[in-house]
Amino acid sequence: MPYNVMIVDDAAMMRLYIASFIKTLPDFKVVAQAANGQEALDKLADGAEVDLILLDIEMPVMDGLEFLRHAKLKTQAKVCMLSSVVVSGSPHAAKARELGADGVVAKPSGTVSHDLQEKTGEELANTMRAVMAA
Amino acid sequence: MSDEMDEIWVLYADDGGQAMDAMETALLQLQECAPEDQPPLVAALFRAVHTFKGNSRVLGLETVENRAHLAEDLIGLVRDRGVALDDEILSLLLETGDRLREMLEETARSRADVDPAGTDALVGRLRDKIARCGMAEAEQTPPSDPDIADAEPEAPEAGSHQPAATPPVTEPEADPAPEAPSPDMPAASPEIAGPAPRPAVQQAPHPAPAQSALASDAAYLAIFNDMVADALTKLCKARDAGDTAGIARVLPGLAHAARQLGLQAWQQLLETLPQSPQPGELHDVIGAIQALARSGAPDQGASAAAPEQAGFFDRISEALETISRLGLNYSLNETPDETALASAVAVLCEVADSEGYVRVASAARTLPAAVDAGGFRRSELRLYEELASVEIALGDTAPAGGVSPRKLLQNWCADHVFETLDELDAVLERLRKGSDASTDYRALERLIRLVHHACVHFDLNVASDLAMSILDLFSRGHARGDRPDAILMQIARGFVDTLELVFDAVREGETPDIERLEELFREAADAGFTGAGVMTVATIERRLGLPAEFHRVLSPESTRAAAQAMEQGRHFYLLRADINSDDALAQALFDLIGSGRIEAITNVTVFEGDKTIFDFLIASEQDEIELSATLAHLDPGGRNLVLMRSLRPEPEPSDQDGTPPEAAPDTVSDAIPSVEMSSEMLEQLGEVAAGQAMLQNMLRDLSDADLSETLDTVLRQHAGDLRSARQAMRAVADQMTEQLREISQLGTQILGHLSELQQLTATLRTRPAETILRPLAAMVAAHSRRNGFEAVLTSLGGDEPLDVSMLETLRTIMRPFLVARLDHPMVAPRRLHLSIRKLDDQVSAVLEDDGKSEPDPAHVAEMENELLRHGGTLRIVRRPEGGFRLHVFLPVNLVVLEGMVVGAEGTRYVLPVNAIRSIVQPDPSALVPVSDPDGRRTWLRLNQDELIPIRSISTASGCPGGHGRQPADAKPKVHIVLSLPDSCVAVPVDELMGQQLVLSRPLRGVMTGLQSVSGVALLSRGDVAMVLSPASLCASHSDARFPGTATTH
Repeated sequence: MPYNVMIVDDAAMMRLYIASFIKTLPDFKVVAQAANGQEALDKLADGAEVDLILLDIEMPVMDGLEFLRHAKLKTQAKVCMLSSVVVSGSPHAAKARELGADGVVAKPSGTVSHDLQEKTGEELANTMRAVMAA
Repeated sequence: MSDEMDEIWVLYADDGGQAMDAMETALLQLQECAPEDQPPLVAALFRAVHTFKGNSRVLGLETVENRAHLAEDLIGLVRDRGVALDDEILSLLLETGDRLREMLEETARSRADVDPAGTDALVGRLRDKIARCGMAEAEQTPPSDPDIADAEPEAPEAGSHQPAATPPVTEPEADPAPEAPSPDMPAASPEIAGPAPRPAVQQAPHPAPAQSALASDAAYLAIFNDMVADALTKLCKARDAGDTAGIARVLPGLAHAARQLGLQAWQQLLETLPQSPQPGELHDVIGAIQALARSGAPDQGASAAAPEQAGFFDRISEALETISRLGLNYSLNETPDETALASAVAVLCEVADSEGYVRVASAARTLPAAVDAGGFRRSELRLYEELASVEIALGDTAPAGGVSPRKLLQNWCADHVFETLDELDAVLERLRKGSDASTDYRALERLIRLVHHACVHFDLNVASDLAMSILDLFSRGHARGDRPDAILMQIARGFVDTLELVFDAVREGETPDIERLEELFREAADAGFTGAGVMTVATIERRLGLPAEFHRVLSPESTRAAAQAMEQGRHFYLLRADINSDDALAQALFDLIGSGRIEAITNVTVFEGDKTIFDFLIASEQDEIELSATLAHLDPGGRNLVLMRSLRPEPEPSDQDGTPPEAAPDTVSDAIPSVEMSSEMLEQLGEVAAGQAMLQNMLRDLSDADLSETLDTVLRQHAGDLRSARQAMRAVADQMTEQLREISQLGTQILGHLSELQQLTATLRTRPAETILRPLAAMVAAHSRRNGFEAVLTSLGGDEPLDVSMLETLRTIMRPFLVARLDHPMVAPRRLHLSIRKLDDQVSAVLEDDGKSEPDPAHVAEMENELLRHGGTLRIVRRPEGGFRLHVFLPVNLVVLEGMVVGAEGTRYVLPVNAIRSIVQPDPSALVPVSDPDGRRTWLRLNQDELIPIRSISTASGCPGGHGRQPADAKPKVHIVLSLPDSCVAVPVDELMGQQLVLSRPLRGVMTGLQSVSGVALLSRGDVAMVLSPASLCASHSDARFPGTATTH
């Protein structure tokens, strides 16, 4: 059974890219998408069965770090940060770790990374698997 | 005894004497000083005693060291824990100081330790006071816990963090935790420094997570409270509707959250309730939840369990106090009183067991098993960790009536940070050698978290953040299966080394130097980049002059791509894309990116309300004209894809050595290259700064010199005889005059530098109008072609130098207007002509349009609004031959001009020198009364054939002042003749102040209503002057501006 994934990202194109990448992973399946943290919470409250959340940080309405707090209480899903502001050594990356993110991966080319699969695909897939295996 | 030892004892006596003197001095001053002046004195006191204690230890004087240590602990409570320095403490410390001095003298004489019995009573009083201070603080100020002061196991001297004789913290414990480990939580570790604090839900059916920060964040409890309220709403709705279909996940979700936070009362309740209640059960379920929620308002999450948990901490506070004190005794080589320890542990275990905190009880039971001070210390840590977990799970109100285990844990970590750093260093070494990475990574994470707690304790924010940052870097590498690279290892080692120094400084009461930590933070931020062998993000940011929103968002991949594009000499641009709601346009843009014509290096999000826009940093072979055309194909309206700026990479530093930077490609840049400070400007600034410092010194010398005193001295030297003293007094006066002259010269030099700086700044900000004219022409051609016709934009005034902000404004106004004009091929213009002209105080842009339609009123209104925002105006005139002419006027801001400063009717004015034709003081006969349509006025005859109007500045500008007419009998004023190509006017002034380079700033507020005034300027003496507009002054007399055309009477 593949793991159910929710993509939370305010960039429509980025959601498309991530979903497209996940289609190439047989052990994961996108079951929900949301454009911000609040929308993601609403979908979880509506009954979305999610094992892993891929979460952007900079989003309107409710950002990723705020959602992370909610997610830790409201779902048993693992959370992997996928954001352009969590590059190695950045304060956001440290904060995400402090708040209990299960995995942290930086987008390769900014908020909308068209080259996600090409440049970070392997790292993202490895991290997703490591997070689910932990 | 050797000479060397003799010398050491002499040194001990000398240093000890100085330390005792310092202690006494500090104590005496503390008796007198105000509370706000105490901290530096307390720090000095601490240092004195600390030094003395260290010296005593070196010579093996255990009793002396022990007594000094107790004094140090008491002072430490005042210095670090906020204990008030009362009379009792002062008296006790004064007495201790006396006794220590006696001991110093005795030991220096006997070269042996003193008899401990002589100070037993003092030791008892010191310990008693320390204990009472600790208790009092715990009761009065829960956030900072005094107990830890008693628990401080060892003196914090500089050398104490070396590996001790006792085993380091990772030595296997004698009494491993008996309980079974949770599946996702490490078993009670055989290493004493266990995992980071975690919610203590020992008997919960589900394991609790091991993230302390998760539950220590007050936001979580607020979220839980919201969840409870939400659950009740849903349950009530279901009860009222008699339909339970929508509540299947409500109670399991709440139970999960309670487990995550370790809210035991909630867990117990939710485990007893049916997971999917039937309609008949809902009433009871709701009642039970409401009862628990109400039981501890206002904070449902924490308070629900608070009544019992707060009692827990109250009930164990005395036992904890005892354990802390025994730990202190142990560290002073006094074996703990077994009975007291057993009693305290029994109380702890009984209370913990009664609450179900089996891990707490288990940790407490390891204390009596400790065989030495090190073992006792490790058991203490474990106990504090478990208690902190309980506190975290209960929320902030839990320790309100007792101790705060979280603070205890932070304090413990702070007290033992040197041991932790030693262990961290050892783990790093093992990782470097490639040992069992998984085990060592876990140890590394745990130790870094302990260091993090210590940093939080001392408010070392940079260090605590850096700790988590380093943890993140290691974790990523571990997730990838990488071994830590050399750079990361170096950063981590540097972190350990630097923290040792920092903590040492903190312990000594000194201000730590955290510069190195900040440097390490920067290195950590760059670690992923340098490790990948590419330029650092900082280099790319600097060379491209990236705006702030791009700071620290470049990933290693982006950095590499940018570096390659730079090497290939490609152009860089900032592109703003509003594509989130237009999938087709987004896809088209990414297709373009995919085609290779442009490369998206990175992009950032820009929020406009709830709307998300993206700023792309792109690289391309295309110059701006080509790129504009390319983008126009995707977004004909030019509204969603906006080329904001082009970026010209700064040359590499090595390129600047001797060889001039490579000339920028010959591209048109409506993108207004960024304005940067030149080395010449830096030099000027340096000159100004140096001159200012010198001026300051000279003025200080002058003000320090007491002229009266000097003159009195001279007089006294000459027995009060003024005549004989005259020459000497003159010399004094001459010297002072010379000093003043030098000051004046220096001031003039500084002004000169500042003027040059102004000029350089203005020059740097200047670009030719061509910068926007060419891209606009390209856009018109591309846009019209795409719409099936040919339109051409010609231009005039491309050489006009304009400020970059002016160019930006003109482009912002013109581009959308032109796009809109070209949208309807049938009536769109075929020939457009844009003429730009810079006047002395405004810029005029005139667009000729031969289109067959009127401009869209909506676009005109938009344009007017934009112009209004910049203080400009818009005028549209129909052309006889068809089409229209659009006149745009924008005021010039921030202009540096060479001005003639004048005074007229009490006000200072600046007249642009380049508009001054001559300055005359006319003979009364040259002032000729003339009748013009506005009445009878006085004109100035310049020569036989030339008569020009006279214009009063105050009348023209509307500034307060005279009426502009001169009394008939008054001596004629100086007149400044201003001349423009087609007009002339004479302006009478009261005084000429001289030429000066001034920076004209735009008028603001009510001043915008002043006529003939284009700006304000600050003069060198600090006065404010109005900058006059010659064009405006001449304009009112345009009907009489030509010689010979006026009627002479």
